[in-house]
Parts: sequence; structure tokens; C-alpha cells
Amino acid sequence: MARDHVPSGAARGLAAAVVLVALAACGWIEAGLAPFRAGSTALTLGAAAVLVALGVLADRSARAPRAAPAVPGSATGRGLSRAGLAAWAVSLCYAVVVELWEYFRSPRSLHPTLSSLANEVIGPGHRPARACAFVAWGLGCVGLARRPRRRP
Amino acid sequence: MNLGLWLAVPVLFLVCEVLARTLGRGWPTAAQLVARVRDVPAGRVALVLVWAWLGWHVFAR
Repeated sequence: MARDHVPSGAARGLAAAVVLVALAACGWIEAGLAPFRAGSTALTLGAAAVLVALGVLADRSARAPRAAPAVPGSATGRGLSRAGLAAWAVSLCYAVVVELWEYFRSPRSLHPTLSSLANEVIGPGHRPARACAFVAWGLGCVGLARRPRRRP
Repeated sequence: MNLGLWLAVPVLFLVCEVLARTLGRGWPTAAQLVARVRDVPAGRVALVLVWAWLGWHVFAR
């Protein structure tokens, strides 16, 4: 049956290359668009929708087994250290507090938010870096849409 | 520019990651935390939505 067809490694590699080239082209176009316009919004969200769908389809075509139940005591199981979780939570909370602290202060040149810092590197006017960031973000869309795989 | 506050953020994350990789004993790495959220379909959807919002915020706004 056609549903049982599993693409070969070469076919998957070719498909991945096509997606990567298309994503790079989208990134280059996107990086040249002015922000706050319908075109950039449509391109970004459209790319996200397509890439998430591709991630889900890639999972199905690979017929990946469902994630095995987490092993108690493993890092993905129930045995996560409370101290470890607390350390991550504190770090994340600190980042949020800094963002809010800076967000409600001005001028922005003295109190940068994460967005304004990122703008210095991948903002409009930094087309190659912005296009690369778009590709990285797009690959993240595919990766996050896929089910996690467990190592044996 | 007040970069000191921001510089502490990656330092904190790096310390957590290094501790997780050296101590073990259930200390999760960042990848393990994300994987744990992705284990649940709702968590996966939430992560995708947050990621899409991030892209919109960075590239479209």
C-alpha cells in the first residue's frame, strides 16, 4: 500500500536539500522585506505553517515509533532533580525579570531588551545575518514539530 | 548600555548546563528539559506556538 511506502535515505536527503534551499530563498526574501508589513508577516507565518506540516509529515513517512515511556531515574523520567529544576527555573525567571526591568525603562539605547539586542545583529539592514537567522528559526520549526526520539 | 544584567543570563544558563553534565544525578540539561516538554502533545503544540510567535516578533515586527 502507498501508505506503507518509506522513502529511501537518498530520497529523504534530496527532500531535505530542497527544503533547505527553499528555506534559504525565503530567508533572503524575508530579510529584504520591511518589517511591520503584511508581506513579512505572511511570509513568516506561512513559512512556519509549511515547515511545521513538513515536520509532522516527515515523522509519519519515517514511521517513527512512538516515544517509549520514560525510564524512572533517567533525566527524562520522573527522577529529575528538584535542585536542577529549581536552578533552571531561577535562571529563566532572572531572564524574564531582566527583560521586564529593561522593557519599562528608557531610553532603549541604555536599557536594551532582548529584541533590541537581537536587532543589532539580525535587524533590518543586516540582510545576510537576518537570512541565516530565518533559516535557523525555520529548522527549529521542523524540529519542534517532530516527536522526540528516544535513544535505546 | 546596561549589558551586565544581560551577560549574567547566558552565564547562568551555562552554569546550569555544565552542572547538569558534570553532576548528573538527575540534573536535567536544557535539551532534556525541552524533550520532556515535547513528550506531551500539548507541550509540543505550545512550543511550536511560542517558536512561531518568536519568528513573527523577530522577522515580521
